Amino acid sequence: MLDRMAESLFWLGRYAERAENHARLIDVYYHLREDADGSDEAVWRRIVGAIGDRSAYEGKYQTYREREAIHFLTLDASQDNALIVCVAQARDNLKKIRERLPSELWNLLNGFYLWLRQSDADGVLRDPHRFFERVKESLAAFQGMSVSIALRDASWHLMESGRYLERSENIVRLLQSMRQTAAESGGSSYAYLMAVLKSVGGYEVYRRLGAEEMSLEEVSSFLLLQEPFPRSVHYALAAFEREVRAVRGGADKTGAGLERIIRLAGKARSELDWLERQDLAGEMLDGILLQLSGTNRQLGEAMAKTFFSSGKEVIA
Amino acid sequence: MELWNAIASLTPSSSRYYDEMYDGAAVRPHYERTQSVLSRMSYEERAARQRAMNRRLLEEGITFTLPQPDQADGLERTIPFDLVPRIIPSEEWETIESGVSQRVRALNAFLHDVHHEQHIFHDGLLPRRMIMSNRYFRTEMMGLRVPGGSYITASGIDLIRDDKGGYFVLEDNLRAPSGFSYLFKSRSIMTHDFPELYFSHAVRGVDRSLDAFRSALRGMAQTDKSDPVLALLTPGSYNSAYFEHTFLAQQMGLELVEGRDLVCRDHKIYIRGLNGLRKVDVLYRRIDDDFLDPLAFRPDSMLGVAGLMNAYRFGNVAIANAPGTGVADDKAIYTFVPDMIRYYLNETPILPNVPTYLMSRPEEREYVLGRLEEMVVKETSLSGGYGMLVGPSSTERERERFAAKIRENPDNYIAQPTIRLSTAPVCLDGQFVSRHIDLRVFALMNGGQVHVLPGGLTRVAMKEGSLIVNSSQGGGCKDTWVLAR
Repeated sequence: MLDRMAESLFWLGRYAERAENHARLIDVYYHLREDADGSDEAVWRRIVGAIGDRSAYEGKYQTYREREAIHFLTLDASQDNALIVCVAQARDNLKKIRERLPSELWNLLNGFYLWLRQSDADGVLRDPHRFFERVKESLAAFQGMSVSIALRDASWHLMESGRYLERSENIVRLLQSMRQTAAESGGSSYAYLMAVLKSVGGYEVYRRLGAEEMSLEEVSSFLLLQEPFPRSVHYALAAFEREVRAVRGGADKTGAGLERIIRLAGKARSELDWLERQDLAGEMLDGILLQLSGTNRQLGEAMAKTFFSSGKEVIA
Repeated sequence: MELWNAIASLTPSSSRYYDEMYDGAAVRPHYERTQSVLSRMSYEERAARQRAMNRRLLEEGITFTLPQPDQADGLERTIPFDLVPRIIPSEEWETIESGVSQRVRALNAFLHDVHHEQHIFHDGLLPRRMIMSNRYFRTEMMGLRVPGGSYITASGIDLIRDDKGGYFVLEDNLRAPSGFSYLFKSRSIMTHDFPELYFSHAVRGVDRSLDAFRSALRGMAQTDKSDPVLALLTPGSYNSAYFEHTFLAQQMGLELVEGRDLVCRDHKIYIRGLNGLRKVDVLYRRIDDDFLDPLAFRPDSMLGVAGLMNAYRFGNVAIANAPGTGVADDKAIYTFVPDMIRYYLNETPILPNVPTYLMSRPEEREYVLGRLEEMVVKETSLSGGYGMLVGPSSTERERERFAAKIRENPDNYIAQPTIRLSTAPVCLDGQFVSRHIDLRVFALMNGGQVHVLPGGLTRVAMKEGSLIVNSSQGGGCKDTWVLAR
């Protein structure tokens, strides 16, 4: 495999995952309307802050309103974090390597992108839940199709490593925003915590594992440490490590870079293993989240350095 | 039925052209079944069917990119696909097949001769000047033995029919002809989205041709490795024909590479990958000669590989098509192809040329300039419908401008009388209208053997009365069926 293919595969995995996370978050937040002060403005302000960039929004619009916010977060092609941009990026990366993956995958993602591109804010607002359902289903179909037919070679492992690193990053960011909201409003509401859990599809599991109380600490510990839950940081980091090891297995390019990535991911994961329930209270949680987000960033940089060489050599 | 008859009366001009489906008011026998299936459908059914086909093209990303002058990203669009197939009876196809094969063999012999003994100049058939001054002539190729003796591994020969229905060769495309993927995708669309029509005919299949393509490339490998590395060199995902490159790579199991993925060491070409370097044995390139190797040709090329030409000359890598094949598909050299067939093969040309006037010959030039409004003038080294003057549809001013250009640089132009291209019915919003078409026939050369893909790509000029079928100018396409006997 070529370096530029590795890069495209990794980013394909990342953007597909990011698109799914965004769709889940917007969907859940959209339907979370009972807030203490009840003003719409505050609701939209929070949603934009959780997913997009508030200053970019405020540069464009005067007030936080439903239509603008939804457009900004889902369909605004000028916003790096908008849903459509994530999907377009995933598609562009797949386009560059489409001969490496089954053509059915391309047809699926491209069809989805074309559908999304012709959607408008009015269409989304007519039935928001149905819209986000469709987004989630399409991305799930893409994921399912690749699990079902893609060759398990280095291409696959790189795509998956991108997916899991992105997932780890997203959960950490979600927890950070949850902490911040709690700090701003002096505590977190039951509905809000539930929304966070629902946005990662984890509410039912949370209940099933017998967590009695709906507290910030409990939810954080669930999303960080719950090993068998696929949208926990622990699971994502372990899966990332596994995929990178698999890439190493097939490559002669074992070098210090690859070893370092594996070591870094393994270290972060085992540190999570040793955490106690009381380590997750208050300020200490902030410290842990900060450290994890640093690790995620380092892993991303190390991946780029190891796999995506841009060095050109001319020997003739 | 009444609708079909209505067409004949709707377009009074149709009698001036050869129509593929109709002979006067009667349906030609090989179209009878298609005509009866289509005429039983309603407008809405036909329009819906055609929309579904075109939606599939878009969803599968079977697109090409038109460069937009004011935008960074080109416009992605599909080639409009028409649901009425073009049908060629088997005996007609035999003529085309043998004619194309003959032509490709002669052109290949010509390329060999030009780069070696140059008998054709010594015998006075062709002025040496025409080759030496040609912008596609590569001195680097002189005296070089090309793998398997094939210069033109893949070629596309454009055919048209005149008002009597006779086939003529309009153009030879010997450098990197595109359109293979459309041929295969058109067929896949017809079998999936119009099975009741497709399966009611005995049509010669095209799938085996991919196999022939792969073995033609494999046959060029200069190695006894059991699994030579075959790669397709693309300019990248921003190229207008990128879909075709991915399609061919995926279907034939070629590595799809860009210039930056390759590196030259010790006069060998390697793919630079995560698993280290892998030597490339055959490179099917889809970039122009000019960009192949910055050390040999254009120094500013970012698309090619530095050192490729040396590796090629050392025999360490095979390139398809060989560099320098452009000299033989020049529109001025075209005039001499029938002579080449007699000269090299000692055969009578099966497919005639369109009469062509060389502007470098004073008497022919004056003849053409006197009647520009009846002529099609083309720049010899351009293709894709660019740099053309179509006499009958041109304005006085355009003709004056072209006349000045011709006088200034006569070597660069040729002229042909406007041929009355044959027409075929196409479906437009469920209605049938008559449009001009041509046929690109693809040939693959493997050693001395030529494999002609059954059918080819029928291109349609979607604008009424237009004669320009190129996809870059808004042309559409049809699936082309060769009936099995």
